[in-house]
Amino acid sequence: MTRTRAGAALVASARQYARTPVLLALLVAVPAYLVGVVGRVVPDAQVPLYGVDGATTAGAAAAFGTLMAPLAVALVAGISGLFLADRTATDRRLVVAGYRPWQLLAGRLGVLVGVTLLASAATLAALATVRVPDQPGAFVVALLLAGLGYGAVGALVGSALDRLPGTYVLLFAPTLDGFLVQSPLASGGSDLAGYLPAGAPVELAMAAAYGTPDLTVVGRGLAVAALLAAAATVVFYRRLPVAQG
Amino acid sequence: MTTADRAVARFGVGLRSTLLAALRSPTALALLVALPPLVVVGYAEAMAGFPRLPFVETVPKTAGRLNGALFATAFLAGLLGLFQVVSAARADRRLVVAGYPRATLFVARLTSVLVVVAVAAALSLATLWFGVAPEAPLAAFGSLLLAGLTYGLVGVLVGSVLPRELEGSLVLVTLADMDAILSSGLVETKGLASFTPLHAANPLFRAAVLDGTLPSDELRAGLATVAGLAVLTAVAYLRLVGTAGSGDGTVESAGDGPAADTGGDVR
Repeated sequence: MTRTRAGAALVASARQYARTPVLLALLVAVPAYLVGVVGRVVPDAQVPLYGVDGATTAGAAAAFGTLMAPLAVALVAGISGLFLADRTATDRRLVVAGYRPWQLLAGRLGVLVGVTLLASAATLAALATVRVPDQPGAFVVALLLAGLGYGAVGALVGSALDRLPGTYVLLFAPTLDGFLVQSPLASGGSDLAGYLPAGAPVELAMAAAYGTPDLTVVGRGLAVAALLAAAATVVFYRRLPVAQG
Repeated sequence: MTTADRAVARFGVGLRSTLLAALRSPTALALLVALPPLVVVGYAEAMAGFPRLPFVETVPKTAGRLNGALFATAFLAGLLGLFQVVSAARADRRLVVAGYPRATLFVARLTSVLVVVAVAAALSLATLWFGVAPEAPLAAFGSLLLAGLTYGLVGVLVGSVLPRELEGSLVLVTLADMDAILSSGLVETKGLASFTPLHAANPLFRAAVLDGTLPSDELRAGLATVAGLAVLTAVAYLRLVGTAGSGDGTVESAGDGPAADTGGDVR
């Protein structure tokens, strides 16, 4: 019964997602635009890479495409997390009707993981038109970390803001984090920047594309994503009434 | 009260209510304040790593700042144009049914877009000034105004065709970003890509900031772009409010976001 309810929550969340055209459009348009189009129109020049073991320069198109890849997945997952968190009234009714909060949460998480996988696949396809990473496996891990971290951020933002302002926060926050603070095209930067949600994903993505990935970066990325997911879970539980049965 | 007095009074009411509606939108106000510094600095830092390109005279970081200021103005103007159409469409339809002239409403909407564009242009220029002092500040402001007006009209047009705030603003952010890149002179363009909405305003702005000039060819092209967009926008807007009373529910059903809350702001 419990598993059936968790499955029903997952199917309902997936249906809700599929019925939101803007989310479906973003799933394709964001990777295509940020990675495929921007990667193609940047000037054809060699740019410096800072903090990437094994490479000091790279072609601008490939470097931008690679840098934009975790950002694209973070944007899609973040906005999806925002929309998925925005169903408190329905959740309250379901809990009163006997659903456990964890069953609802599992449904949301399942959809978010699915969206992150799909966004990662779309991003990889777009990036393949510009450059294939040297180590695709590590690159995929970087994309998943970006999606899960910002998916949790999206859920947190969704518990505080409406969809429109929330969407803007989730357009600009990952862009600032992933594109500016973590940029390997700029020298310097704080060590603390590595603990922002895009820190480990960008570092891992650039290393997977051009250098040698470091396992400790994966660990840091997992820790940050887990911390954000834990915070989102706490907020999710606090917004629901106590389960009845 | 003569007919002319009545028209002026109606225009004043329309303008005032539209501006108040814009000022009451926290999202729009937050973007107006936060976007210019964020984007000008962001574009500059993104370009800072580039070496000086052989076919571009401008230092890459400066080119980034200029593009950032232009994008911020264009996007903000487009957003305000979109918000105005989406949030006010239902109220406008009621006003038209009540006898308010459609042309007066349209001019009031456009004028309020122009007022907000002037604020956005001033903020973007002020942010730019921290890194690059314009050679001809007035001309730079004028070209930003032209860019803003262009995208204000694009915003109204997008709002007339896609009357939803979230979806429309996502379309606008992509359009303005891509346009700022394509018209920047940093990339080679051909075909239709050479005639994006900012194709004249961008070089005009660069010339005003870097050389202190205002090339007449670009100025004419920019004004022609605005005129062409104004005609398209007028047709789309008048069709939108002109269907009042048809009961097709197009606009009403679209107002499912925050727009619906401000739908009746014109009074």
